[in-house]
Amino acid sequence: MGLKKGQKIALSFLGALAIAAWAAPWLPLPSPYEIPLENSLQDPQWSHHPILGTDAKGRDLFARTLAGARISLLVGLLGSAVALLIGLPFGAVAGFFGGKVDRFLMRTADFLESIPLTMVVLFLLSFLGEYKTELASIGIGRLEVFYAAIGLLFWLPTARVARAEASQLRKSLFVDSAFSAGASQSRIIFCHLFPNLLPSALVMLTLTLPRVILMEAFLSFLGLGVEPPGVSWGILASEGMAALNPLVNSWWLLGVPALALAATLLSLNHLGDSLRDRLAS
Amino acid sequence: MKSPVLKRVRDFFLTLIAVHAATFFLLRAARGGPFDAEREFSPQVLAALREKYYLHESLIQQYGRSLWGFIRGDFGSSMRYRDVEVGHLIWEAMPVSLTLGLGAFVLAFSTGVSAGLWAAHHQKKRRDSGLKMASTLALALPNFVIAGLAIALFSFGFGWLPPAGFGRASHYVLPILSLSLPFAAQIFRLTRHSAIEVLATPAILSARGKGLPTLALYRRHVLPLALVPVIAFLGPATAGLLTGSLVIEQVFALPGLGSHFVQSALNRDYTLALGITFFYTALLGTLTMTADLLLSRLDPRMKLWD
Repeated sequence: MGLKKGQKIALSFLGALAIAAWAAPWLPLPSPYEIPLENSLQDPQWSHHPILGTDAKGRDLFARTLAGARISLLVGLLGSAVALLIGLPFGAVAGFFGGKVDRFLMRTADFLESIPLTMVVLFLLSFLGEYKTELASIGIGRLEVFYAAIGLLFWLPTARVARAEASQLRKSLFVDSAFSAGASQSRIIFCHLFPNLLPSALVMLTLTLPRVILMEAFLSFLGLGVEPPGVSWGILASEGMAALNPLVNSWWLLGVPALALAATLLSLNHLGDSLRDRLAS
Repeated sequence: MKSPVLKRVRDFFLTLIAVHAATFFLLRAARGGPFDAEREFSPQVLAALREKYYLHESLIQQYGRSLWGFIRGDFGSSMRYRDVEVGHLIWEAMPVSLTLGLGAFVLAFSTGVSAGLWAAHHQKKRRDSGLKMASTLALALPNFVIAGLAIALFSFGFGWLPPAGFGRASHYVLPILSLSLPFAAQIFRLTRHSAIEVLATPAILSARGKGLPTLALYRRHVLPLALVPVIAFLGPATAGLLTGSLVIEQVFALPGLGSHFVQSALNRDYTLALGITFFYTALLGTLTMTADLLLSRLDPRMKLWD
């Protein structure tokens, strides 16, 4: 189980990022939210504070990038988890039962694939914005709605992979022997099918994560994702976009979040691809 | 329904009807009327407005009216821009989005496929891995960030191209570039992968053995087979281009369908949003069907529509 050099780099980068993002509130950094206007738009100093410069409102960009990592990674993880929670059972049931059930479920998937789902989710997000107070009263905040909406966008590929795997497993010997030993269908699904689906579920999770993080950036840019003063990489990148003008060169406001996104997504894509290749061989 | 093509077309129309129904009821269920942002109306004006948009009828009646309108190609009038027909708005915005989308599509397809074949030809050399790196990077950035970097470089840096605006052909260059880049990267990866697989088959070896020139070999034997996964990707790519254009049009201030859609979602302009979604679904469905037809042409082993 030796790891290649690229995989080691990717893993250690993601690990370091996750730890830094988790520990950010306890690190000796300026607040990512307070607005000391007198520090507005300082260049990155690299060696001393402010390492990555400050934004137009004087907030430290390094602190904001770490705070943004918390939300972006969380949205990524939970959004992919939702996609997995919908896609895995859906595909497993379709593949396991086959026949009419399979045809019906896959027809549904085909239908969903043939519509511009992103636009539907955009609607959903803007409509649910209207019911903010009602949703909050039953403990559903904006971010929870957001996770669910993103999960809705990305469960289809997972379902297809799970279906293919499940219909393979369905024909395997150990399922036959479990049947002849008198195991019920639900027992076979939960005790024999799901554990065998886990490796490919892990691959799908790693490959869905980067897409979810990109989607967060997309939605935040349109103003339907994370809302300021909340901060995510999508918010930082769109603030960087807004700061883009020919008079004041504040490249770091776009460059830093772009770099953070690129490094994270490259690592995740690389890990996902190599995991998939390893499983395939 | 014997013919698979007819079955496919029937499914397409069923999808359209379902999408129409879903968006119709979703939009009606949403809170906030189309007249919310305006000043207070007198009850008479309000009643007249409601009558004009048939809001006084029952939901079923409204649904029937809307569906009948769609069948006749009449999407009703916008609820925000009062005197404008939705069909007219779509018609007006379409050339902008079509130029953008088609331009990005052609650019992504041509550069992606040719770079993919080139990289496969030089596989495992430095040019190949360089292109591979570049493609993974292009896939790791949101397209508005790519757009921002392109603006910073080509508009503010070199001063070659306008950063935003509408009217001249040069206004389309940066939007098309930044919209197409992720898709070019994706198509590059698909082409490269499948071309390498095709190149390893005995058929290619024997064609080479017979002395077929490299260019003819690629055109006649490698390209058609290598294109199969690329064509299969056209459906998802179109969906992606449509979504991407929402953001790109916003960044470059292009008055296309994407800007209209985002605005209509924010304004709760029911009819406009419904019309655009419907239009996009029809477009997506048509292109997916075309892609499937092409696929069966390229690879006769492929079963056409089971």
